[in-house]
Amino acid sequence: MSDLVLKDVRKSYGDAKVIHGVDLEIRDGEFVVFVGPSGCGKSTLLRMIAGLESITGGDVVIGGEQVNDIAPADRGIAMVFQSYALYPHKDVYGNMAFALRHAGEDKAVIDERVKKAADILGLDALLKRKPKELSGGQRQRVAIGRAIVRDPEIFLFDEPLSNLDAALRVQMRVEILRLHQRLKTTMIYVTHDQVEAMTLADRIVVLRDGRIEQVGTPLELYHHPKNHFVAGFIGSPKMNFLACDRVGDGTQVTAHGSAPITVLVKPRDAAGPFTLGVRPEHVDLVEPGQGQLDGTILVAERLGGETFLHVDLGDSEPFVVKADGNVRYVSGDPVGLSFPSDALHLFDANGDAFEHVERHALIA
Amino acid sequence: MTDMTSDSRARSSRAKGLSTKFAVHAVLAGYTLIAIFPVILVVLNSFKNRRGIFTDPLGIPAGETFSMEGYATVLTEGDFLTYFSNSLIVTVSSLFLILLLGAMAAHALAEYRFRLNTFIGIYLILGIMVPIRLGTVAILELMVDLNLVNTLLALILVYTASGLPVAVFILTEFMRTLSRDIKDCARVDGLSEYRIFFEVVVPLIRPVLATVAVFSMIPIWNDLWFPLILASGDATKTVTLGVQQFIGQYTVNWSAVLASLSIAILPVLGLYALFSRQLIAGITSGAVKG
Ligand SMILES: Nc1ncnc2c1ncn2[C@@H]1O[C@H](COP(=O)(O)OP(=O)(O)O)[C@@H](O)[C@H]1O
Ligand SMILES: [Mg+2]
Repeated sequence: MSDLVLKDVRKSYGDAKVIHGVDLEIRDGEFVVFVGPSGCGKSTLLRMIAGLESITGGDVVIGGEQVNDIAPADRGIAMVFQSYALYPHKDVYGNMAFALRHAGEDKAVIDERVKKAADILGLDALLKRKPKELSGGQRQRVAIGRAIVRDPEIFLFDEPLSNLDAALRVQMRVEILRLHQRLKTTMIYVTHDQVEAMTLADRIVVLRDGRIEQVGTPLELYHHPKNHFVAGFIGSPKMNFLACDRVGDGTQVTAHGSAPITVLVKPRDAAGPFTLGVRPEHVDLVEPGQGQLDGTILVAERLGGETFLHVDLGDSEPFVVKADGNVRYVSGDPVGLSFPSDALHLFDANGDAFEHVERHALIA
Repeated sequence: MTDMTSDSRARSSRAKGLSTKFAVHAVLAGYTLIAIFPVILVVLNSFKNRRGIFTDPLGIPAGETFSMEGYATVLTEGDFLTYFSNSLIVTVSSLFLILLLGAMAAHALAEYRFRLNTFIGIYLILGIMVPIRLGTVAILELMVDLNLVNTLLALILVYTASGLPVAVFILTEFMRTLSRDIKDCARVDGLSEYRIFFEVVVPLIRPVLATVAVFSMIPIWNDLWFPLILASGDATKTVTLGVQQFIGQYTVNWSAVLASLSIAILPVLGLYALFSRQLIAGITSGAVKG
């Protein structure tokens, strides 16, 4: 039993409030990712769970026990840090064995557990090396191995892949995912990278300025973002936002004097100005005049398999459309945009989303 | 044509590179020579008799000027071995205390947030600006009250106090740059704060400890002032003070003075070698690199 519950958790440094009351329940075995822009308090929240940061208000409960005043070592957690934090004067084996040795564990047990972790992570050949003799990826593997050896109830990761290059990051991401499938231990993972969040998480917690904006599965956040911030944060390239006016019964809008665009949301009373949200992958390209809006191609970014078209609609920011790799548009071409109404998002003046009429098919 | 001009340009720039290199080395060599010349002179003349020293101070000891009489005097007259061990005890003990207490204070200042942190930090390093000799009279009175006059402990305490401010200052600055993660990792691993200091922090700061040790050591070893005032008894004399007995009011036994100074250089050299090995080992281990 290692459910983790945060009850109205708060943190201030002096007068500066950093975490403003976070409520969250994490089930045993879940992979939860905290994601949010830099400085939003992800690390602080994780460190409070670890016991490395004092708790200004609220409760942290692990396995039914309030642990606010319990030392990090006694919380059944293991943590992996962005900077790896290996002990530079100990070799790989020494690093992995350190906590167990310190706990007075039996030599044979230590040896067995270190060997097993090394085996899982492919570190067998490196056990005698010092951290300085390892590459970044290997170092991070040792750091993860050090956590595995302790056999924790909960793994905490603080941006473990941020110091690695892009290719290695993808590879380590898969390794961490497989590790979770294998160990089935609760994992809490902090990142500012929404791709990491989407690919790793059972559930994502989106944070902004010390508050939870939304909690949900990756697809839930993608298809049903609760507000403007989450909509803009999840998804790449990011969602396009157009200022718009509601017309008719409240489920139709016009933007830039377009023809009425139907948005499949439940109408409710709300104050404008309103914002229409359209993901780049949810726009159809048509002949000028055939769609609801017309624009001019500014730039075509060709990635081979797909093309990102930046379309000028007269806003300061271009409207991005994700199109097939074989489209023939070049800069300066006129283009028509057509919006399928079931994939559109509508936000009120507070940034709150209008609820969709139907939930996405993949989401229970 | 163009080939030739670019070639000659390359050659001239290479020549310029060479000549600047040469100039740099010449300056460094010159400086080294100036710095080391008195030491060489001391060592050379320590192997001469009195006549040799005065007739040919720069000459190599040979033939009739060569003499070990200085060393003989030093090792037989007076209690030079005692002075020697006194110096060593005082220097090593003071260094140990400066490094231990300085590092612990610096760790506390850099690692923990507590009220008065800044104030205590400033208080601890204020001593850099106040020469400890200004307090000589008060220190002497204090030592008299504590019954510590003519003990090595008196010297150790004074040197520790005078060495701490700079040590705390430098170590604090360095410790602030240490990764927070590695200490937190040790906390998660279950180490007490003391063991974090000794098992995680100290290995990381070894090169800086060596640096602080090197430049704290020399003034302590060479000091004449406090041994003269606090520990001038025969049993507690240090080398620098012991040498004074060969400097009489009317005659100076130069051979003996120079011989004792030559011997006195050795332990400092030894300690320096020890620390500088640490220094180099620390620098090349890339300890703090991410
Ligand atoms: N020791 C501290 N003292 C004061 N403010 C801090 C301290 N640590 C973090 N903060 C502040 O708390 C906020 C959240 O920091 P952090 O949790 O590290 O953000 P994230 O990990 O999401 O980038 C930041 O605005 C940061 O300036
Ligand atoms: Mg962070």
